[in-house]
This record gives sequence, structure tokens and C-alpha cells, in this order.
Amino acid sequence: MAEAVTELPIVANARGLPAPGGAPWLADLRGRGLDAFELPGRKTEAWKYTRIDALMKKTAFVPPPLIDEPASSDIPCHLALGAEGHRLVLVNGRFSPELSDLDALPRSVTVQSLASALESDPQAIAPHLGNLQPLEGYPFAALNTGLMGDGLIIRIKDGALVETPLHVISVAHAPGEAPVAFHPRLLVMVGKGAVATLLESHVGVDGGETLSNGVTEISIGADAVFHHYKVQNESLKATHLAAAQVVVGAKAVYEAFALSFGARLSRHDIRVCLDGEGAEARVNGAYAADTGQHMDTSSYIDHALPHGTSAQTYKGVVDGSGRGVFQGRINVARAAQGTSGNQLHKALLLSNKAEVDAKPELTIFADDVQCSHGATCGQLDDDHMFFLRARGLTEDEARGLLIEGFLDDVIDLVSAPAVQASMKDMVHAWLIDRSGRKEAA
Amino acid sequence: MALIEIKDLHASVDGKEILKGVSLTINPGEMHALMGPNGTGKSTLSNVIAGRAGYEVTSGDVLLEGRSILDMEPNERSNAGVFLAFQYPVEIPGVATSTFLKAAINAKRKFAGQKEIDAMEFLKLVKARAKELNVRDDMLKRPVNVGFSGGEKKRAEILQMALLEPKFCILDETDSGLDIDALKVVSDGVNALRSADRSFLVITHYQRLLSYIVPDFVHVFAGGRIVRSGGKELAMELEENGYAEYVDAA
Amino acid sequence: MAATESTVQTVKDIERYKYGFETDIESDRAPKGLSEDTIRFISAKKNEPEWMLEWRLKAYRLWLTMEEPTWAAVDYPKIDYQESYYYSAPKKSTLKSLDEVDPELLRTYEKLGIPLKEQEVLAGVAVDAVFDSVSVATTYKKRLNEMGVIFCPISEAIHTHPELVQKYLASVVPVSDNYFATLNCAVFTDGSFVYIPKGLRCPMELSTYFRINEKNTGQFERTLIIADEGAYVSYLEGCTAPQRDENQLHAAVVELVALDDAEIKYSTVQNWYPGDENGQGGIYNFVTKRAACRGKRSKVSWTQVETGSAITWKYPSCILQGDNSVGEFYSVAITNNRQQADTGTKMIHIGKNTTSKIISKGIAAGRSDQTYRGLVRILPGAEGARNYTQCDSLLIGDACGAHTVPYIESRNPSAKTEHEATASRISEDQLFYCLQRGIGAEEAVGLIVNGFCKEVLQTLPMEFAVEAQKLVGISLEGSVG
Repeated sequence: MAEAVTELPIVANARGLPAPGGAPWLADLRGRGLDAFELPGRKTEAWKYTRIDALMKKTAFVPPPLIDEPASSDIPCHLALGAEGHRLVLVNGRFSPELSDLDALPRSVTVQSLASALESDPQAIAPHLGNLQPLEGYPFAALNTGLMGDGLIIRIKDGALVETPLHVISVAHAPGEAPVAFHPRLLVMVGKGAVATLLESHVGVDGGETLSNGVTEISIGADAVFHHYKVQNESLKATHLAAAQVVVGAKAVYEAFALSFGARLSRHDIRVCLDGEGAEARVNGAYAADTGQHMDTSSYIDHALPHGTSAQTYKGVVDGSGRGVFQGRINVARAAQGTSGNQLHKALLLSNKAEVDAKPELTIFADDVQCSHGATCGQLDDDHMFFLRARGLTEDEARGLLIEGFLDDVIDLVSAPAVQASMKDMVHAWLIDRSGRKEAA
Repeated sequence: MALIEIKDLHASVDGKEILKGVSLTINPGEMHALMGPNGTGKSTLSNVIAGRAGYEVTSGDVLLEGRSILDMEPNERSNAGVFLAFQYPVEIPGVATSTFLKAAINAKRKFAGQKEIDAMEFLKLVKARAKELNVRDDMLKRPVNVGFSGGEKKRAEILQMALLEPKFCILDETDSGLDIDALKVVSDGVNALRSADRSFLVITHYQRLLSYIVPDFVHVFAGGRIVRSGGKELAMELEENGYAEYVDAA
Repeated sequence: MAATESTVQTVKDIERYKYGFETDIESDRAPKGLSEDTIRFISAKKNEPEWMLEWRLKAYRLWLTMEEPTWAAVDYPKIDYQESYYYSAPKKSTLKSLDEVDPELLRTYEKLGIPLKEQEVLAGVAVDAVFDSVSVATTYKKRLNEMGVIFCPISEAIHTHPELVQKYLASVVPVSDNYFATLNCAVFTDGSFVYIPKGLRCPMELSTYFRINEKNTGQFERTLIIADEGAYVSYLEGCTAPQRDENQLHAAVVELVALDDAEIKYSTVQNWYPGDENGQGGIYNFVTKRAACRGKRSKVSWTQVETGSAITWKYPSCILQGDNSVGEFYSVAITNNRQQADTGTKMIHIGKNTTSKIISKGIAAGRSDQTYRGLVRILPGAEGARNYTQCDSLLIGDACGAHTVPYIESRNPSAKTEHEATASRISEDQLFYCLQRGIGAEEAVGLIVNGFCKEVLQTLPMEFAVEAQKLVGISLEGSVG
């Protein structure tokens, strides 16, 4: 199997290219990554509803060329989160100092590109890189580990109070004919008692096919509060694969929200380990998939130690021939007594060709727990529709309003007001686009 | 002989001392009221007497008819005649109230060496008592406390008390959340159970319950112990002046 | 914590296995191991027609190419299929009437609480008793025959009603369905066959008791129930086995077919020997149960109380083909000690306005592991389909595991699916409340667990509810008031 994998264009084309950093541990880590990569297929349970093998076999992805960085004006900023932030731009996974703005960065935060860290002082990041991300069971995170070259290392000092969010804008850009694949890596270390917010916007510049295969590793120290908001708004020629590994320390809080509108195929893998007593995770999200889109959210909350709390709510709207997938697992380890873990997934199916697959899972090995999950799937409520029609709205307007309400309801869980407002604007824009598409069709 | 004798009782929760030397003697037939500000350990006292897990008695004793009950399991204390009307009656989904009542009555009978109650006798008994307390028949079919209103829960507690015929009854803030009508029904139920050999300890924050259930003695509880005792006029005084001086004193 | 300890002790006591005796009876066995010869032997013993033997051999050859499934959350040493016997029958097994039943056998069933003499039988229940590989007695056969109901061992139906058997056998669970079902096709020995004619509400509960007695013997029964248009039947199934140190395999297949307006209610109390506290011995229970709701407005309701077996691998399912058909699954599963259970259901919505309901209650104690695994699939044509699923787990003690793995696939916008699951332990508050009312810890746990399972237990027919109550160790709801 492993041998066949090395024949995949995405692996074969990346081999032999110079990668930054020559440290033996790094070569070893990359080697282990490639060894662990196995293309998920029909029998891979974790990828049961998201088939990617055909795409990977037939598409001749190449690493992005070094030139061709888009002009600042070409970047579709309207697709990124509108909230204020320290701008960190990655183009095809490479850090772009020109497009970034770090002038106002407070002293309690240090930001470094992964490539420069690997060149200048690889030893300093050796204990951290790949420390959280398992390779087994995460084939594309393994691939990222094997092929990573650049990304960001963000350190937030103990006790820091970072008021303005850090905003990573990741731009996918394939100006030529060849489909481009890149493997950005984010390493975020949040110190004890620190308070900070990370925004991630994933956008695409019009062009050819792209594959973004990112891995984000976040460690959150005891008593820290870390907010993590992500918007995925790539083009319909894009494939977006993202794995986030988050380890939350004692009494620390991790709050995340992921909103997805873009890409032809996307998979958002998030795994949060509550690794200290009394740690808390609030992990929420929303997605809207239309014709030609496949959106997969797979979450895994691991309660490793006592008195942890986790809450998850996800909502999805699936239209046209779109497909939504939700897999959510709450695991409660033997030691994690006093755990509270709750999860909810709600989907709206708007068309006869749409499909939603949900697999919410509880695996529980401790008895003093209160855990639940719920999943619903259905269409818009007839009574609600009729009520709005009776008030003079057209069918399209009525549907739009109800869909907007359905998604805004979960976006209300975002605790940063500016981010919440920006996300609601995006939902609104998606709905306007949708009715435009319907009229055209 | 005293029915209940609490001797210099000290108890703690998670290493923190809540009861700091409670002494109280209750003779057969007496109605005692225990009043005091919130969060001073009144409910802890009732839980310790009933034997709830999680409370550590560090010194002192509780005697029922001269015998210590502290080494007894909660159900043994119940069978010996201790009844606690819960401040927050617990819901048990799926278990019909009548099934629960029958199990409780039979447990007590078994303890007393009597044979189990037969179905007809049980129905007759429960229906008669339920009627007195304004408990509707359909409530008996519903799961224990599930979907009961606050008043229904408290009436169900008194119904259980009436059926189990305990020697010593503790009413833990039974008046909380009750409107006047419900308060009257509950009080009538309690008064009907007063007898020469049955004693009560009524824990309450307000004097209002004591206008319906007239106590023989009133104790002020603050800072984990009884700080003052008197007759029923003490309750009036507390209603007038509040607990401020006791909170400060504690 | 004292309360938790007493809970654990209570569950231990509840779970003591009462059916662990064995019966000393002369038996007739096939040579050990599995081969085409074993299958020919079984077929010859049953005096089967050629088509049946061919069908078995085909299944066997297919089975040889298959692999044992590994996706379930159960862990057991590799089964050596050559170490088992595939046919064992009490020597005196061809009977003309119940009077000829070996008295030793009758005593066995009496010990199990199942009298086979008709005058003693529970009123309104007809019983088929399957001992190891053969059906030893069927009661009330004549009365049922007069109404047009066929209730007989499947080995008999192959001779007496070949047209029905050929039409429906493997029509719900195909021969190639899964490893254990295919094995069953090759080696099944007996089981019950039921046919309820058009428009008849079968006035009796039909019931089969399965008993594994012989050492090293696998039991492979096959049950086929057909409810013709407008028919109704309630069918009960119970199972026990002696206490033995080695594991024994039970791989059954049950197929139900409900035509237009027909209804089948299928109840199981599964109490195979679960093994001892250390996980020594016990039955491996790998069972395929599936119903086809073929007709319009047909309904199938599965109720299972699973307390036995070392390993349970079982997913009674409904294929809802007919428009407006209904599938239901009610389950209580109790695992203790080292037991492992991976059980649940599949509801496949094909027809319009099909509805399904899943209520699963799992209680895990000791060092056991339990998984609910369920699939709800709404196909594009299932306009207006509805599913409601509720899965609750109760954990007793800190060494067990309870898992919920549902799959929900919806491909029709007018369909509505709802799934809820919870996991928790018996609350200390509930336990203390009961204790304060004088109820002992053991009984309190019984009461609370009973309340937890009530929604499922109350779907059992009365006769079985009593047995289930004994099994769960609790007093039954609704007996008073």
C-alpha cells in the first residue's frame, strides 16, 4: 500500500525538491509522515462518507512555483473575515512578509515563519513540531508532515492579554495550468493564563485547481482562554483539507467556530484533547453546501482528565446536489470522571439531490459522566414558510429568511461580536448568491 | 426518654466544617422549628441525620430512642423511623409513584418482620391518604416526581410521610416555592400526623409556615450551631427583626 | 463511594446465571469440524431434498472465500471452526406426539420454566422447543393448523411447504449477506417456520425456546416468519445454555416478511450463558435478524432484552419497502463482568411515508463493554419518511464502557430524522432518595434501572415481561395502581 502511495502525483512531484531545514530530526519526522500516509479508500471508516481517493489518483498536483505571488489587490479580501486583526498572509502555504502586517504586534506575541525557523534555529522548535498531531488515523496530516515546508509559529507569552486578534489569511492560488498542492503548518503555543484570539480565513484567487492540506497544532496552557475562528471560502476548484489538534490545559478554555462556504471538497478535522482538570472546549460550526460541493466536518473531543466540559453545536444547509457530512465523537477516558460532554448537529436539506450523512459517536469509559449527542435532519418547517408567505414574502425570500435564521442561530455562539457580525454578513452574502444562482438556473 | 438526641455534632464536607457543635433534644410528640439564614448548615444537619453520603461526622452523636444511628445505612435509619421530606424531591424517570410507594412500605414491613402488603390493601390505603392530601390518582401513576409542579412534589413528600408513619420527621424547607393554598394543604397534612409519640423538626427560613404548623420550640441556627432557643414567640421576633444579629454573632 | 459500591454489588447479584445446568441425555452428533461432508451429513440427517443440499453447499463454498468481520467493537480469540460440532440431536428425536418426548428433556424445559405439556402450558402461548440442533417439541400445532397457521420446525417445512420455503428463504438476508449468515446457510440445523394466512390475527403468542446443551456444539438456527396480507402475529424467542468453560458459537439467521397491512411483533429474551466473572466461557452470539416490510402499511416491531452471551453481535433490522410501512426497535442490553455487546439496528427507508422508531437502553457494569451501533438510511424515494432514535446508556462502576455509534444518512429533503443519545450513571440523588424511604440499595438499583428501561420492557408481551423482569432483577412496572 505504502509503495502505491508514493506513486501518487502529489507525493512523487514533491519529492526531490529542496525542503527547508536539514536537521536529522526533521528528516526523520518527514519520513515518518510519508510512511504513515495511506490513501483512505472504501474501507477506511473515518473517510466512509468522504471519498477522496479518485481525486488524488487522477489529479497531477504539483508543489506551487516560487514565483507568481499575487498582488495585494488580487487577494479577495471580501471573502475573508472582516474583523480587525494583525494580518499574517500565507500564499500557497508560504509566508508572505510583503502582504502581512505585523507592525502593531504586541511584545507578548512572537510570530515566525516556519521556513525561517527551520533554517535559523530548528532545534528550538524540535520539541513542538509534530508533537500534538498523531500520524496514525490522520492520513492527510501525515502527508502534511511528510511534505511541509512553511507556515507559521505563533507564541503567546504566559499571562499575555492580546486584544487584537491575529488573522491568518491563507490564499490558494494556481495561476498556471497545473493543479497546485501545498501543506501549510501552523504551530500555536498559548502560554499559561494568556487570553488571545486567532482568526483564519481561507480564500482563493481565481485560477486553476488547488489543494490546501493544512495542519494546525495548538497547545493552550493552564487557565488560558483561546478563541479560534475560521472561515473557509475557497473557490469551487479548490480542495480544502484541514486538521487541527488542540490540547487544552487545566481550567483553560478553548472556543472555536468554523464556517464553511467554499471549495469543491472540504474536510475539517478537529481534535481537542482536554488534557487538564477542569478544561473546557466550546467547538461549534456551520456550513452551507450547494451543487458540486462536499463538506465534511469531523470532530473528536477527547476528555482525558476529570471535570472537563465540552459543548458542540454544528449546523449545516445543503442545497442542489451538495453533500454534508458530520462525524463527531466524544471520548471519555477512564480517568475523566465528572465529565460533561454535549454535542448537537442539525442539518437542513433543501433539495431532492442533496444528501446529509451524520455519525455522532459517544465512547465512554468513565461512569460519572453526563454526555449527550443529538442529530436532526429535515427541511424548512411548512408552518414557518406559510406564515412568512402570508405576510407577503415570496417563496424565495421566505426560504432565505428561514435559512439565514437557522445559521445565524448557531453563529450567535461566537463570543467575539465583530467576528459574529462578519460571519452573519457572509451568510447573508451566500444567500444572495444562492438566489442569484437559482434565478440563473 | 428523648426521641432524638443530637450531642455536640460536628460534621464537614470536603474537609470544610459545616456543623460546629449542634446539640438538640426532642421529646416524643414535640414540634421543633429550626430557623436561620441561608447557607448556615440547616440542610447539612438534615442530611447528616438521614445519612447522606459525602458528609463526614468528625465528633458528636445522634441518638434515636437512645441508640446511635450514625453507623446505620440511610435505609436502616428510615426503617428505624427517620423521615426526611426533601427540599428538592428527586425525579426517578420510568418508576411509577405507586410502585415506589409500595416498595417503600414493603421495605418497612419487611424490616418489622411483617408480610408484604397485598395489592388491594395497598391501593385502599394509598387512595385514602392521597385524597386527604389532595393528591390526584393520576399522580400515583406518573413517574416519581417527574413533571410534578413544586406544590405536587411537596404534597407527594407528605403523602410518603403519612404512609410510612415515621417516628421522627424532618421537613427541610418544605414551604419553599409553595403558594398559600398549597401551604395550607401541606400544613394540614403535617398537623394531621401530629401525635403523642411522633416528633418533628421543621427547617425553614420564614415564619409563614409556622403560622400553620405551630411549633413547641423554635431554634435559631447560625454559623453551624444553634445560637438561641425559645418558644413560638421567637419565630415572630425573627420575622420582625431578621437574622442580622445572628449572622454577625456567628 | 458507598452507594456506587452497593450498586455494583447489586448488579453482580442480579446477574447470577440460573440456567447453567446441563442435561445428561444421549445424543447423536456429526463428526467434529466443518467440511462438505459435514453439510452432507446434516442434510442427510434431515432427509432434505436435493435442492436444499445444493443450496447449502453453494453457501459453504461462498463462505470459504469470505472473511470474518472485524468492524464491531468486540474482541475475542480467533474461532477455530474445525473445533466445533455442527450437528447434535437428542437420540429420541422423531416424535409423533408430545407424549414421546424424553422425560429428561421435559424436565429440562420445566427447570427453564417452559412446560411443554399442553395442559400446563401458559394459556395462549404455543411453544417450539429447539434442543441443540433439532426441534424437540411443538405445542398447539393442531389448533393452529386448523386456523391455517403453519408453526413447525423449519426442517419440517422444507418437506411440507417447499414452495413457501423456496420463495422466502434468504429473500431478506441473502446467502452472501455476511460471514456468519453465510455460515448459517451452510450448516443450519433447525429453527421455527411460521406462516400466518391472509387476514388472520394469530390469537396465540408463538414462541420458540432455544437451548444449547451439548459440549463444543454450535447452534445455527434459522427462523422464517411470513405474515401474509392483513395478518398479525406476535412471536417470542428465549435462549439459555449450560455453564461451560469453553466458548460456544451461536450463529442464527432470522428473516421476517410482512406483506400489505401485515404486522409482526418479534420479542427476544436472550439469556445465553455469559461466561464467568473472569470472562471464562460463554456463548458467542453472532446473529443476523432482518425484516422486510414489503407490503404497504406493514409493520415490524423488534423488542430485545439482551442479558446473556459473552459476545453479542446483533442488529435486528427493517427494510421499509412498502409505502407507509413502520419499523420499530426496542432494546435493553445489560452487560456485566467481561461481557461484550455490539448491538443495534438498521432502518432502511425506501417507501414513501415510512416511519421508524428506535429506543435503545444499555446498562454496562463490571468490566463489560457495550456499543449501540445503528444505521438510519433514507433513500431518495422515501418521501415524507420519519425516524426517531433515542439511545441511553447507564454506566455502573468505573471499569465498564458504553458507546454509541449511530449512522444517519438522509437523501430526501422531506424526510425528518431525529437522534438523541445520553450516557450517565445512576444518580447519587436518586439512590439516596430511595434509601431514605427505607428501600434497600439492591432494590433501589432495581427500581431505578427498571424505570430506565421501562419504555422498552412495556413493549414485551405479558408472559415475557415477567421473565424479563426476573432477568433484570426488578419488580415490573404497572403491576399496581
